[in-house]
Amino acid sequence: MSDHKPNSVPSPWAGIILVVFAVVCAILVVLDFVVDRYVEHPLEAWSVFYPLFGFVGISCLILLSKVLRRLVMRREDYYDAE
Amino acid sequence: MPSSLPPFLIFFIGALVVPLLGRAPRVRMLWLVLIPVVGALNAMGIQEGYELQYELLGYTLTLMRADRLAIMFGHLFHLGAFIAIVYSLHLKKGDHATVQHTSAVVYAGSALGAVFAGDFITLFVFWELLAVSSVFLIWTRKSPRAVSAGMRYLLVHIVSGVTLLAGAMVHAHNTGSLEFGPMGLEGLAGWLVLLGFGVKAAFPLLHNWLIDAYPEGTPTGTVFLSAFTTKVAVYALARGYAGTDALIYIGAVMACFPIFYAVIENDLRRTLGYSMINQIGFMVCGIGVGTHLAINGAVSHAFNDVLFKGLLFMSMGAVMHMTGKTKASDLGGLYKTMPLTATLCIIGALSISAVPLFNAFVSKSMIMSALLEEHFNWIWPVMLFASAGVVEHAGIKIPFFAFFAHDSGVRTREPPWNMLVAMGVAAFACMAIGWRPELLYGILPYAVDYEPYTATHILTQLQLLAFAIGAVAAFHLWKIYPAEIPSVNLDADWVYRRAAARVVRFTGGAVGAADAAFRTAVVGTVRGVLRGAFRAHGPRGILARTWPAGSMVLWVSIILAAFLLLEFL
Repeated sequence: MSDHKPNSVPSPWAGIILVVFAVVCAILVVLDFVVDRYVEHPLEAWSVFYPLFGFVGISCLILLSKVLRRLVMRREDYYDAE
Repeated sequence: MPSSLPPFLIFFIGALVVPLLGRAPRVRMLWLVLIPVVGALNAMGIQEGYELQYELLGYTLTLMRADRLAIMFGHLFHLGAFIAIVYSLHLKKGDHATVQHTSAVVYAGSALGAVFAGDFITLFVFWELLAVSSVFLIWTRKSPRAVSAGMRYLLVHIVSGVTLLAGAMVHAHNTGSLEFGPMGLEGLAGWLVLLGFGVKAAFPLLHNWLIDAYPEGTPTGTVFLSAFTTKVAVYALARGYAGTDALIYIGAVMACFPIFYAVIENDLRRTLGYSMINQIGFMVCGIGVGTHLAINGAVSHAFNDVLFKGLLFMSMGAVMHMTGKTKASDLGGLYKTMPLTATLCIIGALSISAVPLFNAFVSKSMIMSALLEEHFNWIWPVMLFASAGVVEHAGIKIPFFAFFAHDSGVRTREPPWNMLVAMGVAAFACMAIGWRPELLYGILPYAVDYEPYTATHILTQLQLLAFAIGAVAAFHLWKIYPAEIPSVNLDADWVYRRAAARVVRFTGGAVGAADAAFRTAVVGTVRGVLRGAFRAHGPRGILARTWPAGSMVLWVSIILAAFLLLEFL
């Protein structure tokens, strides 16, 4: 399993990238209250709809995929065996 | 005088010469590059409205119909063929270069023939040629898996063609015309033709040929495969089924279900296969909406998909070419030795994720806006979810697991120059269309009045993407992101690869047992009859004995006496 291999990006750089990314996310949330954005769909009227949708949507995607994996994952040679 | 030659003709003539240049690799390189270049120059001269017709068995068939939709796909396929041909120039004899080059050029020509075909018969011929020519791009990998996958690919596509032909025959019977135009779902013909198109477009449950075959193709062959087959199907749907409501829902399913598989798939080229179905879902949905904005969005997304998906397949092909690996569990840390390839792959990832200033931002937005304009308020969030999902698997997973993530210890170098040039051209085109959408607007089927770069749109898209990336990053940090595990995931192809095989085996066993029992019973009966006959007629049988003449006379007398007695009674 790859979990035992070292990370390819050295820790200090990975940390800096994450901090910069978090700052960008924070700015984007603040901008949601600054920019007078137009609304076409009722859901868009909610504050921070897009950040919430992106985060919750992908979280659900990953968690449901883990469930799917339990159902459908087989050995690599599954189709070669017969 | 015709305005131009039918575009497929240049490719077919070019393909005839390719095998003759096997001993002159440099001349062959030049010849191969010249084919799409000359083809593109020829295509630029095609006049809108031009038709080239011929008579066959009393039907008027249209070998070439040049309208804006066909011409746009014509430009796209010339560009796609040029990029893919440059990408494969390094092929040598050991790679079955002659077979790969020849079949690839015929394949590209067939795609051009299909989009310019004005009737069903011509379309059918090119439809089947697409399958027959492209399968060699899978078979030339030579592995047992590639050979099996290629056979399944061929069977599925031949069936698709036959279904299309059946629909065309019913259509001709009903209408007396073989012209390929708007079909709709009225009657059997409409459904049959849609089914034929749906197989090639990888509709849900009909999609596994793509997931099965594309990862088994050669590194260069898969780049060709990703450019043509499904895009021909998208073209056919746009011409035949624009505004068909069912496509909106089919497209939404296509956009959503593959992203779940893409998260857990270990083979990065197979992940791109799922990603391709997801992107075609957007196109199919746009075609279903059917307004001018939606059709423009769908076909421009097809155009962009050839570029960014081609770029991603090329980057994974380069990794495969240099390391022999494409599985996430075997890769990681390649940015150290393949920095250029990693950068180009990231450009492809940004493009497919629809980041502002990259091409999908323009085309995907057109489809999403069309959904809102037509008040498909329930489908819009579904497609928005699919849009965020793209970021997860194609935007992050592909570059992250191949070039970053855990250091796999694999050390290599950049791929051959031609691969880098091809990826560079695709990357440049992705950015150019993102920066200057009017480059694409000018060749779309309908006039465009759409501005993607508004403050609201840029902000909301960046918010969606950033927080989608944030969720992936958080799941990685919390160590609950699905790990890369060497595995295979069951999909719809389980039905014909495993269940049907078992049914055949079980049925064969049951029928075999019944057959054996029946044969044993018959043989036993025959033996019994023979034994009885032998007892009577054998050397010691009662009927084989030598009886004295006196006993025969006695029996004859007894029979005659019996007759006499009966006569008097």
